[in-house]
Amino acid sequence: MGIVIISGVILGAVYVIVATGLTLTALPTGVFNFAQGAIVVGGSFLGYQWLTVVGMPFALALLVTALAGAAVGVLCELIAVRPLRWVRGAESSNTIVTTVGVSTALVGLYGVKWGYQPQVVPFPGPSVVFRLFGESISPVDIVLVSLAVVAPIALHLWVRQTRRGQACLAVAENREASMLRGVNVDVLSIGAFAAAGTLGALAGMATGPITYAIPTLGTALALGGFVALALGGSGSFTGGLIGGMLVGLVSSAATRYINADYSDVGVLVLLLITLAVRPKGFGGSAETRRV
Amino acid sequence: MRIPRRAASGLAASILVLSVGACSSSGSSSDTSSSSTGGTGASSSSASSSTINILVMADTTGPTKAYGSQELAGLMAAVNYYNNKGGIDGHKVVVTHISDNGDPATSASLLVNELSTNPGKFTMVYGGAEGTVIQALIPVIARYPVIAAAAGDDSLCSSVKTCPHQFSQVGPNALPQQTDATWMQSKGYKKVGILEEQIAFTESETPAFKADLTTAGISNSEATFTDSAVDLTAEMSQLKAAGAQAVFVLAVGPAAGYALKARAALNWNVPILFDDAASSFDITTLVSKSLYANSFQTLRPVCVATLASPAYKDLVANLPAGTKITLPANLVADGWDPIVMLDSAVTQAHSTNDQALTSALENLDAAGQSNPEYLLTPKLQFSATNHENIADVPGNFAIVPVQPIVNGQVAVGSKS
Repeated sequence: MGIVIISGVILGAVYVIVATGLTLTALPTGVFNFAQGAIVVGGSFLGYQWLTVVGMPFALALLVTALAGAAVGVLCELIAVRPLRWVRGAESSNTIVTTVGVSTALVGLYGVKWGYQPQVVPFPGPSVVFRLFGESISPVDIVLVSLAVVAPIALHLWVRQTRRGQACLAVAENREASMLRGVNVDVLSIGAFAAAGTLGALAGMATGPITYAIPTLGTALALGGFVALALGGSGSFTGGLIGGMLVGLVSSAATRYINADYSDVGVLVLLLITLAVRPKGFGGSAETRRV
Repeated sequence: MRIPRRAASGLAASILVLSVGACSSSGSSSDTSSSSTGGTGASSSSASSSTINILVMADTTGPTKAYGSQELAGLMAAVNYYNNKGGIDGHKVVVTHISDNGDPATSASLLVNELSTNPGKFTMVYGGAEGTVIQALIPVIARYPVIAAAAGDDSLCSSVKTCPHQFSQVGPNALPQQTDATWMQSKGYKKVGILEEQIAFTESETPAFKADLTTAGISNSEATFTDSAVDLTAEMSQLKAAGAQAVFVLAVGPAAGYALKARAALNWNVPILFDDAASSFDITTLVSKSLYANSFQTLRPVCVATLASPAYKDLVANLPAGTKITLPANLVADGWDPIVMLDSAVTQAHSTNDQALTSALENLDAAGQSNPEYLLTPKLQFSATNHENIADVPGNFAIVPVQPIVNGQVAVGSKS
């Protein structure tokens, strides 16, 4: 049982990180950036590149990867999201297509640069194995899970307790009204994509030692992150945390106690039940409208 | 070595092939490069040509480029080898390579274009080792006077009536699994766990392996996972709970690493045996040395330094400049052996005509069957029903401890 929980939490942590990036971009823009999974994978490849190929010091590798992630996030906004705001008749759902397009392009670029064979991303920390509830857990697992817990909670607090965060919520609620109140939605949008890119790339350095750097992994991560978000509630960082962990745990338990064939089915059944009972997900709140 | 892809894409490709064929070929861009010596070699009749032209469809740009590049390197080494000796039966060999991005539909379309715009130019087509690509090429090749070689398996050509010019250097899919089951039996295991990646290739292997285990008196328990899985702890835990004494992993790429990590996470020192697909990659690059201890891989003898044929030295010596063997040597051998096969056929037939070559390959003489330059299998003898190599036997696989791959081979080659 212990190992099922541990492996479920580790798997869930990966989805939480992707879901957090999705929420980060969705809050001030209403856009689900389906390239977020590919950005995470890009962080894994950069970790491999800097640490294994170049031999860069870890702190510098973190910094360069964070900057690269921010740059990719900004490019994503400029290429796949912003132009659609200028197109008459374009809807926010069109960005699903464009961000999937960016994801596909990124995967292709990774393939050209690093090939499609798995690359091992080194973990610079200790290699000792700890025991938790009688099961093995490695330092990289601890780092990944810590990041997956701290990042959404910190972002939740930031959104709730800072003016900039409140502005994000306001834009999510009503973009036009926010603009009229002086909120610079373009800056928020760029900032959100840059922050999500940074988070995704750094998370890639943490997930890479576990998953390896593989170009095609991005799609699976994006899908898992999206399901986590749907479970947890769109626009809620803590909901994404709960949703991601649930996806990981249910997937792991279904695999262990039923069959791996049913792991995806188990997750989707959970999603259906959740949405039937709470259409906004665990972390979403019902909208009230006075008539 | 066959590189699995989804069967669905193969079906789609086959449909597209028929469409392409029906509509004749349309212009398509291709990265065509001639290599080796000699001129263009174009002529209206391959039989009267002074050169032997070979068309190679190998992915050197797409998702399977790591494999395709190795196959092409092996093939070019063989071409260099024979050209340096004066050619095959006096004919210089010229290679035209087209990268198909590993996509069956693209490959078929490019092949139609190449064969229809250069009638009679090519003596042989090499379609690589990727199952769905080969399947997509078969209906095209059947319509042109050209022979084709591939390291495919028994599912590729069901009958010589539908693929009269297609020859497979290797035997049925189930062969390595027979070796694996025999190995399990020799170790005295009574219950084996099967960890299977849900892709078309491995799913086609598992039933045969289960049957072999049953024959050997070994029961089994199976856990499967999707190709998007990034952690196999739960699956391995399932096998541990089922009481498996050894685990057989049928997978490709990173899954081998996930399995070894899961075993360590479970603190379970069960022996792991990787199938031939999982073994087509240097598993030691995925995990630290302590994690791959007590694990084994299924390899062709060419991948084992102490078991490989002396001909492997010829391959290495004739590799194109700047080329390195980066994966297990069965991949370069996949490219090398078709040229050796062609040498056997042309030498026997004294002709490069497709009918004469087909007849020669169907009735290879003793010298052709046991050409010392063969690397994948020591002997080549084609089935009369589907042109697969019936001389490929379970003994043509070795099971050795997982070790680093250096120049395509593991250093220590004891048949564990």
